[in-house]
Amino acid sequence: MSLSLLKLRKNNHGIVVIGNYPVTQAILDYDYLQGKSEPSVKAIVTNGKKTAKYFFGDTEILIPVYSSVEKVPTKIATTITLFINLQSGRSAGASSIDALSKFKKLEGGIIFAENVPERVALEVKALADSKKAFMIGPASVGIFVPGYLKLGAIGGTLSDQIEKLATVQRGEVAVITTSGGMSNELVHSFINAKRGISFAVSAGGDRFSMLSPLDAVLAAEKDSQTKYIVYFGELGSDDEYRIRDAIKAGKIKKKLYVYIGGDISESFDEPMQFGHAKALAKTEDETAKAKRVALKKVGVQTFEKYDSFIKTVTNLKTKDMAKTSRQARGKNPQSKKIPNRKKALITSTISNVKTKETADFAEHMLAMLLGRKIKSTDTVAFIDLILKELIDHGPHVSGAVNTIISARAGKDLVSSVTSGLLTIGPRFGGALNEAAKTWFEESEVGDARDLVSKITKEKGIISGIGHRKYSKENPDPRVKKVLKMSENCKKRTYTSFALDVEDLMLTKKSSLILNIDGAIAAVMLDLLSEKEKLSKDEIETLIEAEFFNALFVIPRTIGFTAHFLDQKRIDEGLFRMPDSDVSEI
Amino acid sequence: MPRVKASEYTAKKILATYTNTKFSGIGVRENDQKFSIPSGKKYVVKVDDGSKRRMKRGLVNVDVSAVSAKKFVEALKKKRFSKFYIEPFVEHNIEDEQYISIDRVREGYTVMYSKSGGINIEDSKDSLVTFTAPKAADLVSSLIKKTDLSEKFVRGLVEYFDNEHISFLEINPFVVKGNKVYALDLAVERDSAADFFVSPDWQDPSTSSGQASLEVEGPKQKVQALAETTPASLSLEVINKDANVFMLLSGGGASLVLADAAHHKKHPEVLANYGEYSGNPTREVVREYAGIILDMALRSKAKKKAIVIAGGVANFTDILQTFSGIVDALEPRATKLKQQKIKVYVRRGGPNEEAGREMLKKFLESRGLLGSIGGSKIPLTKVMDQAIDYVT
Repeated sequence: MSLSLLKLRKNNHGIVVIGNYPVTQAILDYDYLQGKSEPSVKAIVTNGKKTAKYFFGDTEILIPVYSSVEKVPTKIATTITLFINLQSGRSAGASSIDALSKFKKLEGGIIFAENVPERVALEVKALADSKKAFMIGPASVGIFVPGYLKLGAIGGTLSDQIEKLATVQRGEVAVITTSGGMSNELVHSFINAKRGISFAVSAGGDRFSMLSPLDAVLAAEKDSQTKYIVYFGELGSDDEYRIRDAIKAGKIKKKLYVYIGGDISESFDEPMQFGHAKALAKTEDETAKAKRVALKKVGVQTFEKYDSFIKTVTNLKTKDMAKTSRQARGKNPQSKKIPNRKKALITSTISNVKTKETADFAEHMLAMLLGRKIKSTDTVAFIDLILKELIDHGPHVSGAVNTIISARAGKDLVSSVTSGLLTIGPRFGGALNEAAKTWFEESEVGDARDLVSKITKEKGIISGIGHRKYSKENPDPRVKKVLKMSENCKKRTYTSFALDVEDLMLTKKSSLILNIDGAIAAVMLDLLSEKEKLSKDEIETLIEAEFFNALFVIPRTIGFTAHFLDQKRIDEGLFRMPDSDVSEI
Repeated sequence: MPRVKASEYTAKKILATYTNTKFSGIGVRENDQKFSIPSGKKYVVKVDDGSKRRMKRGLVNVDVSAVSAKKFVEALKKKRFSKFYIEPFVEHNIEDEQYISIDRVREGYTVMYSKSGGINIEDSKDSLVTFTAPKAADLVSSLIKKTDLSEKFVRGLVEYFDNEHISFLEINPFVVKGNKVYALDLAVERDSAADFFVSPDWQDPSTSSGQASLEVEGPKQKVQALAETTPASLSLEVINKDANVFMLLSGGGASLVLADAAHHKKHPEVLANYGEYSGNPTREVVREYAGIILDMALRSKAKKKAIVIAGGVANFTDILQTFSGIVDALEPRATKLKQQKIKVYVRRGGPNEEAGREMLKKFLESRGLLGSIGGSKIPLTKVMDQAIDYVT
């Protein structure tokens, strides 16, 4: 088991956070304030998403998320030197074992959870020892190495706490505790006294903490930057006797300052003994007092009063160096403050999209839908056309019928219009997006012939092809108008593709024309890619978000509203299907 | 990690599944539980509430008939005991009683074994054989070699110890008759952090939280019950219910420092309680916890009283949230607290500490309860000094 401060004091750690908690942001904030040019957190292991958004300074960064340690790709895994495990006590053991096995360059890890079974902690430690990695915890708030690293909740989680923490200089005093809360209390005593620390670590209060207090003291002994060792312990356990034995054996030569909490226990009743083992075994007295006496005997300075303990350890004659080493500073100047950034509950980008005062309705609408200014008047003209064309297609179509029936049933405007909108789907008005998807995806992988033979084999249909009323002999006049709008496009990739498909399909049946949905989808795609210069990824995102269906829903809402108002004017009363028009089987 | 005591009934019942033996014990758990003891055999009857030294306390009856066993149980029920264990008596000579204990330690397993076991084992320390085995396989071979336990029993026992995440086990005494091992008593401490991984039978209501207790539900029990509902840590020990200073402390380490301060100010007698809350408990949990302690304070017969709300600088516990919970608890009790002239002394730091302290300060001032309030710049133990000065 080797906790090496020398190894920890470097600038280019790669950290994996297992579990997902605000601690990640705190680690990044400390990185930023040290002037690091890159965040040290390289990956997060948790469920439910592909990336996690965090801030580095005030720049938003996306950290990749994987659902298990195993899934972290090699490219990242080879850069990992540390991990922090924030999972619950039940799961933390297994995932820590995964991490120890997977990351070949790993120097060590922290387990934050309480209630890790004793046996599991021992197993993780045994594995870590075999890999020559250190483990700290369970129940540890982590380790803080001024100038280099904050790994864990130690020192705080909010940005104002981290700003305070970043003022701690690199010093010569090591601060070791078993208690998480006291580690931060002690660090703050040093902050208030404006004194530096070589490192602060919280071993956690578990019986078999993987970094025992003795291990931590030995790490401080080995650390060339540490001159004095400050230790906060508690009653119970024999950890301090092991430290005493190590001092006796000459393994610890640096001066120790020790406070052990728990004199209060002298006021309690002795708990009833459970079994004879304790009485039979030659164990030493685990009271705070007895441990102080034992340590004092080997030259340790012990304190009964906490105040004097703090006064002494924050006034030792030590050298405090600049907060960050030049090495740690990297390219960026050291910052004192985290820029103001609020973690929003919702993010919205479109309400600030500005169009010219003179912009007409179509341009305004499209700018809102795309979240950006419109580049070409051709696009605007197209939107203007289809908005007009799609407002209404008569009272016979499903949506209009729904609206009319609702209006005649005495319903309000919103309910009646919504009733019409609810019919929009795969069979009515909703084919636009599917058609766009077909033209976009299929033109990538082949030509019109490939698509048609695929569909023929699957006995499927192509969205954007076919109509109940219109045919080759009886063409849809709207389609001609729409197709004309693509004439200014140079490449016309999607419209050409769609027309090629139509040619092939018409050889089978004359009703298999390029319909209005297919035409609008094709021309829109061409305008978006050629005139608005959207990338393929951006277009794919639009298709996934059903943008093309919006082009139908918006104008048709106007139409349904018109039908509603019309019905209210006519006021024919409740509609009932004539019995003769319904066949009940 | 918290080691909890198991009842003898549960410990033996589960052990039997590992040693492949028939389990004929009877566990009585509820006051109105109907139980019958088959006649024609002799029995051992014991109180089974997780406490030990039962023989010396007159809570064990050995070699009695079924009828006597039942009578003994009824007699003990009148003394307010409610959990019992009854098993068939095993005829044996006292000289044949042996002792064994296994403790899970950092280095593996530490075993203590003696051929002269029994209730007076502590007088036979010289007979004790002690050794530590690093791995389970070593433990098995050492136990077979160095003790009279049969191989079958040893394998079962070690598997039981590991699979059930047992931390400490003591069999005093056991006897070996032929190739059979009889554990006449069994004391087990198990790792409650492993509840998810072990037999559900360990959830035995007779030893909730592993504390043997005859007490009516007092503040400590209330806090224990509350602690079971949250991942945060909560604890409470009552030192003297009629003392002066009642503490609402955060963090295990800091609470020790604060409690020690009273001890060292030569006025340990003013402390009413010890305990702590930590691990970022929710506002509601803090409200409940604080309420229990505030009620204790109101009931105390002391003339001058103070409440100390203190802790170190938290790493991740939200001070605004936890202080809001404290205000929630103070609010309905404020008038009574003021009537009894109880003052509140606060020292705490951590996330959102300014907002938290500001809110608490405003509240305490408006109700006339404020003693003092401060953050990390004030020495940790100063509030304790101030509270003690007020009450003495």
